Amino acid sequence: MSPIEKTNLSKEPASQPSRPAHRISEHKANLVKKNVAVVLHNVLIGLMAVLWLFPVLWLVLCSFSTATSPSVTTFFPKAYTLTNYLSIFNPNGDTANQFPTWFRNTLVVSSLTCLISTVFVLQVSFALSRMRFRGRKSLMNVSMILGLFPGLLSMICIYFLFQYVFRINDFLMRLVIAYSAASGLGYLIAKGFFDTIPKDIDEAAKIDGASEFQIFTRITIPLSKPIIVYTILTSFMGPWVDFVFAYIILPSGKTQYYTVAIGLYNMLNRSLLSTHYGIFCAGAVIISIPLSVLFMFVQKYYVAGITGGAVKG
Amino acid sequence: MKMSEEKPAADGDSLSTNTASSPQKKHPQPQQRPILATFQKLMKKIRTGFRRFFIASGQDIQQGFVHLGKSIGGFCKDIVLSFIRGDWPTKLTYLIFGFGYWFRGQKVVLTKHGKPILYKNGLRKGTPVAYYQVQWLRASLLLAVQTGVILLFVLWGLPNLSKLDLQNLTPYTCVIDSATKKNVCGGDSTFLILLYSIVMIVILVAFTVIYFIQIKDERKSEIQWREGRHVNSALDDIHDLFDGKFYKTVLFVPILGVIVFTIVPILFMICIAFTNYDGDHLPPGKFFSWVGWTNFETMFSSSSNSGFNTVFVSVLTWTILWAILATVTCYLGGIVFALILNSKNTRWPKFWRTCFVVTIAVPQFVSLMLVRFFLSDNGVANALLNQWGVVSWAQSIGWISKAFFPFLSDPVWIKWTVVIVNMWIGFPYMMLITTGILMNIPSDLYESARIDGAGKGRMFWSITMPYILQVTGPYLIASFVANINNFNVIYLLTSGYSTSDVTFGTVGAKESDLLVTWLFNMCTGSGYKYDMASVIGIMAFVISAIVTLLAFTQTTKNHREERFQ
Repeated sequence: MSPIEKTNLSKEPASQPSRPAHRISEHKANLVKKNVAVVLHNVLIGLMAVLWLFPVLWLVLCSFSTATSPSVTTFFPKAYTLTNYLSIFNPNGDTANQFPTWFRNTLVVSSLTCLISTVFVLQVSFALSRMRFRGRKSLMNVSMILGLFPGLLSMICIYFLFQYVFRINDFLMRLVIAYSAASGLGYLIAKGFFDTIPKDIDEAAKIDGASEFQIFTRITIPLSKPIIVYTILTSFMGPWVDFVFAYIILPSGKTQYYTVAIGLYNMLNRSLLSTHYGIFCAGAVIISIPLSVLFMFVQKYYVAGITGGAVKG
Repeated sequence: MKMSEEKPAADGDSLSTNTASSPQKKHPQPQQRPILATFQKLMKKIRTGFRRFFIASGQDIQQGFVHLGKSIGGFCKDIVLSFIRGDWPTKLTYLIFGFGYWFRGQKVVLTKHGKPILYKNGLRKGTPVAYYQVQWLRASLLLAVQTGVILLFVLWGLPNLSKLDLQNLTPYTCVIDSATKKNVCGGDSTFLILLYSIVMIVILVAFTVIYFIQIKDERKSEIQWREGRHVNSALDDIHDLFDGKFYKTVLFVPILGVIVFTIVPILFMICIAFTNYDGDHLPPGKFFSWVGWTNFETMFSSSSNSGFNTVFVSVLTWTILWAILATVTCYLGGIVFALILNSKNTRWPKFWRTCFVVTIAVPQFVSLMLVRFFLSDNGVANALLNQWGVVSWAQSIGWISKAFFPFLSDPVWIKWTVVIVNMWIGFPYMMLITTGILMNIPSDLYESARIDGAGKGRMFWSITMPYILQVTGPYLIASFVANINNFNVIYLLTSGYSTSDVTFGTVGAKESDLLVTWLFNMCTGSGYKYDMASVIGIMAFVISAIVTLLAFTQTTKNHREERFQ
């Protein structure tokens, strides 16, 4: 700190007691003004938050509503009921509503997908981040280009691959493979994280005689818990929210093979909408709550991955 | 974590040398209006970006070709020379995979407890003291691969590849078998012929690559063996796969997955664009055939009166406009919101942030469908607006013609609606990211600016904004590409809308469609125009590729990879 600043600082407290009376009232007025600004600021944010939560709120309201179709004239339901939740857990032979089966299907699919794709992503990220070999850069460029093709068209072809080439008859197995087989392409965020681990650690381990396999399992993996949690959770959440790929892969009409997303989306068909809308909302609320909790958990890793990966390359 | 805090300053510096936007350089002219200055800088950046893109890509292509030529030349030389100079097992390796490996190995002296086995009077007759650990593992694996691929090619690939011209095919017929009373079908399917052929071609390409690699590698071990250097045994090979060559072990299965489930489908899709695979030529009953560039002509030339041409231009324009609008609104909205939430006046910022993040956490097919019902012609929004008298007022001033707001049923309104609803979905993401960045900006930057006498606005435009732009640059590009292919928002919100325009209707499109949703409609709708869908898919790829290339040649992303290791 320079001597000039020091003198400035010592001067200020000395001048405060001798502040005139009108200055004090001005100070008070400023305080009030500031408080008003704080209140207004927070009210504004609150209004925006309400606007943002509006559809979510409506979803919850509809799930408790007696109205069975979305064509209602009031925001708040006229009467409340729990029937929707009861029928979601007890379908009683309703083919369009097999929520417990769908839940089990999705749980199986997402657990397997999560397992396979986490392993793939970690392997690819390790190889591309911690090892140097010929063709590494080209691999990364190719993977970037492949990511630019619209996945929708590929999915249609993958459907036929399952149908004729691999002849897998288990539809859930088809989904698991479709979700996880090419998941190695999504290595970027994990690689960005691995890039931040200092190379010195690896080199020290190598001097001590560790092989690359040991470095991977004993050093890199234990040091990357956050990114592993992130990868696991994101790949687990995928099958719960995806409806396009499942829509293409799964057979139409066979409701026992549906995932939650497809099953619920199917309820919005023209023929089912007027009877199943309330059930749809109840199902949506039930899967949204755990997903929201998971997402809250994941969000900081997501941010760290995007911002970190962006700077680190 | 310490490192990630230090890097921003360094990046800020590299930015300033490139684009002259550092706080220090701007300091001498504080009277310049910040918004105008930022805009000018942006324009300059775009200009230099374009210039650099064309110069850099030109140089890259030139260098790429030179490099490619050199490496191909060197490769051919290697292959020919090793055939001439190699001994007879090496020469036979050109015919039989891994043949030479049976003859190369490490000389191993038999030992007992670490000492060579010696006998009293030298060598006992007939007892080996040393043997060669030949590379039997490689040799047998390669032999198995060769046999397998050749068998596959003869039994399965050749019949399909020979019909790849898709002519002179056996018609697909079904006969009821009198014995079992079951329908027995037979005949060719053009679809399967094409699919199998592509799979076979991919296998053959891999086969060729393996062929040349094993030749080069075998020659290398021949030289090692001849010079008495160490030659890997089977055990060494396995050990290597967990050490120096560990990348091969970990990359093998993921790359195989990508080849089968990404590359093969993409190749197939590209091929389909050159056939007439549509509802009238659906396999297995009917055949489709090669039509060359006809589909592209239908799509682009104005002389064809199928309507594709006009619709394509309109859809493409809207796709690009949508991508720009959606990206920019979410980006700016997210930054503004993060700044508001980050302000000192905000109480309970965590709580508010959670409120906004909930909208991302709810699956899109739920939230967007709800919004669709909410905004439909007889939905709650219109009912409420009607009760409040807004509808009749809007009717009286001639704003709307019917007794409801056509949020999702008018070709112009629907575009505005999707952009605004997309803000609702999209900008919490940007808000999260910006919040993260704001926390990472080193506070000493602000402190030194304050000492230099900078005001709040000055600090925002000279430190915060450049910083955010710098860090989120790649994210901005990624989200632009993602928006070009943003299927969910458009498809879910507009699935209740059907066009009244005949031109759009005949080609299965809507005014609000993006390239991807149009493509999806073509594949699942009544027309099954897979051929045209593939053309659109290729176009969507081309646009994304151009944007990405433009952006990535400008940023020096790849060079920064190792800075923190």
